[in-house]
Parts: sequence; C-alpha cells; structure tokens
Amino acid sequence: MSGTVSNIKVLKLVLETASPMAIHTGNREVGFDNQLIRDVNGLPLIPATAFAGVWRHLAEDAFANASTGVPSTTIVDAWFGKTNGDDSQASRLMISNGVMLDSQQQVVKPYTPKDKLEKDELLRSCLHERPLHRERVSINDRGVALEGAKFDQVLLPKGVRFALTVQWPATGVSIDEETLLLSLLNDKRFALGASTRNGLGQLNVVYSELVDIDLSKGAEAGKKLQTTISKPCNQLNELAKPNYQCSSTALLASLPLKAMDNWRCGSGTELLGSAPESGSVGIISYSEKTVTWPNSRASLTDRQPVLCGSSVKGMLAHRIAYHYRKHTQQWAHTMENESHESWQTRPTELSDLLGFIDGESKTSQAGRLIVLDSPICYEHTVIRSHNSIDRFTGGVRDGALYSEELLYQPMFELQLYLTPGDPLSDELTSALLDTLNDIKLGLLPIGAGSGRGASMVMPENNKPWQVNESLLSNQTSLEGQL
Amino acid sequence: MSTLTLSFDIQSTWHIGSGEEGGAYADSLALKNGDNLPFLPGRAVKGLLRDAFKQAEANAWFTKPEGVADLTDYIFGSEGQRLAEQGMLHVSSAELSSAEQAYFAATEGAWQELYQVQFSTAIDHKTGSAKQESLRSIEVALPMVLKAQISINNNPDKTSLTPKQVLAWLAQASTLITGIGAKRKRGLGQVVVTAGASQ
Repeated sequence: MSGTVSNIKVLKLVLETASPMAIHTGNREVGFDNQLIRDVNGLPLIPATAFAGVWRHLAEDAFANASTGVPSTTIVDAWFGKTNGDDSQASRLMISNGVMLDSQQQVVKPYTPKDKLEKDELLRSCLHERPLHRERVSINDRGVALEGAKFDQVLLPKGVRFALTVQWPATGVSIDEETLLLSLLNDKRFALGASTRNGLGQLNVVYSELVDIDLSKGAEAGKKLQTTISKPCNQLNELAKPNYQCSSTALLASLPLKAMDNWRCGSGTELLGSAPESGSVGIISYSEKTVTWPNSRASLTDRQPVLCGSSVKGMLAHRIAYHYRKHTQQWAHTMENESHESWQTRPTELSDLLGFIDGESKTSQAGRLIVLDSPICYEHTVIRSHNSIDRFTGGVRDGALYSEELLYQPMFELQLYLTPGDPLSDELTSALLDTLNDIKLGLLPIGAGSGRGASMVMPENNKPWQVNESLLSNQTSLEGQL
Repeated sequence: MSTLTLSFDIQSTWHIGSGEEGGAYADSLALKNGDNLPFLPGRAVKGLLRDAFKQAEANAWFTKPEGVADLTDYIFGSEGQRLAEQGMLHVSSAELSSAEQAYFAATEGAWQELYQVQFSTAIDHKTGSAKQESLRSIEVALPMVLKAQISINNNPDKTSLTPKQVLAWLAQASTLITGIGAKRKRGLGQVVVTAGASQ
C-alpha cells in the first residue's frame, strides 16, 4: 500500500475452466512435451502473473476505446503498474494465485497430506502428470502431417474450479474504471495459457463477491480483511452469478452441423460404445472427461467426444487459404516451379486472422479468429472394418485388417469468434465467407477420414445458422464507454 | 522487555531477492541464511509493519499521545532529509522454528527442497506472442511459517505511551499485511500474519 487508503476492496472469484487449459512451466513432463504448472501440493494452479497479463492486455484495448479524457496508458499503468526505470509504478491490483478447489469446493491448503488428496476423485485425477492430453499435428497442403510438427499438450480438464482473490485500495479510484475492468473478466478473450485461439483456456466466473472494507472502522477492519481473504469462498450455499456487464468479443459465426452418415474426429483411446466381440478397435473418435458440479459437488463425467477447436481451425485455415488464393488470382499453374516449402506455406495476408508461428518467434503472431471446442451429441456408435486388397493378386493383404469406431450422424455446433481489430481486406473477407458457405453447402469435410467419406457434414435444420458478416467489414472495438 | 511474536503464515511461494543471479539456474536467487534456509529479514518485517501501521494511523485506529506529531515516525524512527531519529522497536528476522532449523541442519541437502524456480514471460500486446528476451526466472521459496520477535527498546520514553500499548497497536496493524517480498501483488508471498501474546 502507498498513500493514505481509507477503503480496500476485495474481489473473491471462483473461476471454472470452460475448456481444457494449458498453463505450462516451460519444462517437460516425463514422456510429454510440456508440464503443467503446479502448487506445492502438486495440484494445478492459475498463476497470478498469467491472470494479470491477460487482464492488462484486455484493459489496454478497452481503455483505448473508452472516452475517459485521460490517456489509456496512464489508467492502465495505474491499475497494473509498470517497470520503466525511475518512472516505475507499483500495481494497484494485488492478485493471488488461483488455487484449485476440491470436490467439496474447499480450497486445498498447502501441504495437505497426499493420502487425503488421493481420496478426492477430482484431486486424484489432477495430481496425475497428465490429467488430460491432446496429440497435435499440423497438416500440410497435401493433407498429410507436416514434418516435425507433431507435439502433445498436457491439459487440465474442462470444469476444474479455482479460487482467486483480487484486492485494491479503493480510495480515489474511478468507479467507471473499476466497472469496466471487472466487466473484462467475462470477455471471450479472457482465456489463459496456450492455444487460446484454438478454444483452450476459456474461463467462466461462477462465483464473485466484492467486499468493501472500510479501514476507518478501526482494528475490526483489519480482521475483516484477513477473514475475507482467507475464508473459504464456498460458504455461500448458492453460487451467485456475476452481474458485471460483458464487453464481449463478437460472435462471428455459430454453425450447427450434423454428419451425413457415420462420422469420426481425432484419435481417441477409449471406445465410446461397447467393445466388439471380434477384438480390439484400431481407430476411435477423440473423447475426454470433464468435470461437472451437480449440487455443488464435483463429478467426473464419462468420456464425451469433442471436436477440438484446433482441428476445426486447421480445416478452416486450409480452405480460407484456397479461397484467398482464388480471389487474389494465385493459381496453381503459376506455382508449378515453386518449392515444396512454398506450397505448404500460407499466404502472409492470413497471419492477422489465423496467426503465424515463426521458428525463432521473432515474427510470431496470435490470430484474431477464436475457434471453440465443440461438444458432440450422438445416438450410437458403429464399428466398421477395413481391409486392404493386394492390387496384383486381388486378395487380402496380410495384416492390413483394421476397424474403426464411428459415430452415427452426430451433431455439433461450431462457434467462431473474432477479436476486435482493423477491418479485413475484401479478398480475405470473401475467402472467409466462401469458406463458411462451403460448410453450409456440405463442401468442406469436417472431421477425420475425409478420404473415406467419414467427415461429411451438413447444416442442422432445426437450429439457426448465424454468420455475422457485418463484423468483417466493420471490425472495431470493444463497446466500453466511460 | 516486552516482546510480540509475529507469525507469518506464507500461503504461496515467495521471493526475497538476494541481489545475486544464479547463471543458467535462475536470474534472481532467493535470500538465504548461513544454513541456506529462507528467512524474512528484520528490515523487511519492519518495513511491512511500518506501512501497515501508517495506514492504520491514517485511519485513526490509535490515539496519539500528547507531543507526538507522527506516531509512525515516533515508533519506527525516521530518516531522510529531516532530522533522523531512532525508533523504539527492535525487530528480528522472521525465521523457521528452531525445530525446523535443526532438522534442516541435520539432514544433508534437505534445504534444496525448500526452493523451486519459476519462469515467466511477457506477451507482446500487438502480436499476442512472447516478447523477445522477456523470459526470466526467479528462485522462490515454498510456503512456510516464519516467526519474528518485536521488542521495545529501553529508550527513555517522554510520553505516556507504554510498551504494552505499542505492541498491541502493532498487533492490530499487522492484520493489514497480506503479502510479503517481491511480486507480492502477483501471487507470490500471500501471507496471513497473526500476533502472539506480548510478554
């Protein structure tokens, strides 16, 4: 604290991962490419630095677009601090790490005995070195894996809850600034960790409580401050919904889809239906467990199939690049002497929309298109067997028999969001709209096994097909006005 | 001599910088005592306490004795451009309990388990990717309970202020301390301070 403070505000939050989250230490887990950040109990946590960093970026955008009469950097520096030699400034916001809640919504204290942690199903699953992991690979222009582009991500499942506290001196603070800042917690871009544009790291505020502590009330105020910060955040029987207004990143498209026939996505490890008598199944749809909170108690669900945002974004990226080349008159026959490297590189004009990774990270850029994970609804599964025929003998090739588990006409909804920024070029806008139209016409396979027809989808007729075209030509800013 | 025991129940990892860097291990090493154990220096305890006391005084938690213009300066001392004055407090460093210290002294290499290295990077606002050369690492100590002793110097007191009263006020003010060390506004050093009975 600095200066005279007569009031301290404490915001207590319970955050829930609305999609799997990947906050890594920078080190590698044994057998995996990365390692989740964990607390002294070995449980995942949300570092305050990650929370503050994302919040600050959103605040910089929000205050730059709000009419306050004060330079936005001055406001943001006052709230979040800055390091700049003699001009440095301490942050007004004191943010705690997000500590994981157990199945009973209790904060797990440091040095809780391991056997006690193991007794809790939720904590036990999160103590595991990989509560969840997704295999990722980049696909090139020929539809096969890009060399050296295979990696895995260790993740935290959807539905895990964390308790986090933010405290700040309220004296002399603008209520409008405060309100705008808090509203940003509901922005779609308030996502933590890696791959946020691929739908990971989404957060929901499931509980919030703002306590104003009046220091003029004497020593009792100090005790109240301590109690407020350290009391379990789930003493309330009902979790209150936050009532802050959301200055949301805009929904670009909501596309309800249904597979035309048997369908599959990704590559999973556990059967979703019953095992066939004939033996094991070789290829299975990707599925994962999530955490739900019926009656405010955590429960791990059975594995549910999910179409990962990264898969959808990859498919969209290829088709957008195709249409973009078409609109800018870049034809294949003019590239016949180009290198393989050149063929599998996307046009640079797509980087702003889709992001770009440079090996040395000097020109890397996060994209503006956010593609969320899509949960999949299905009625039943189908086991299909495949074989390979020897082209010379016409007989079955030895060892080539395999089977796959498919979902019969599953339904899912693609949700695409666009972060604020400059308007897209006419060509890129057309390419994006053409791609969405391709999906509507059933011309873009979404899923795996497109060569075998296992990824054909059409719009689901009972739900509205929404594409917000005006966003593309009129991309502006958050709507925050002070 | 009247004393007050302040117990710092540190709930998260924490970092008091030693000013040294650890090469490839970490950019900033934690402060350690001669046995390689982490501690909160007395000057840091006093600084935290002074800041909290100042806030409490500004909010009229205490009744100033006559002849004292600035209670915080009177109790904690003052220096700078004005006349420097010695305060009335003696503040020890906050350390692990003697039993814990004995354990770490007797168990070779056990002290290493008290530390870990945390990495962080900054994200470029324009590109959304990691800022060049922003990756840094600090050595942090694990959560633990440290205890410090506050005592009153035997200075002749010109006022009616009693040592017992001062310690009681310090105990009240200590409830305003919610973080210690570096990056305490970013998750490190979250603490609950409790005051033991004064003697």
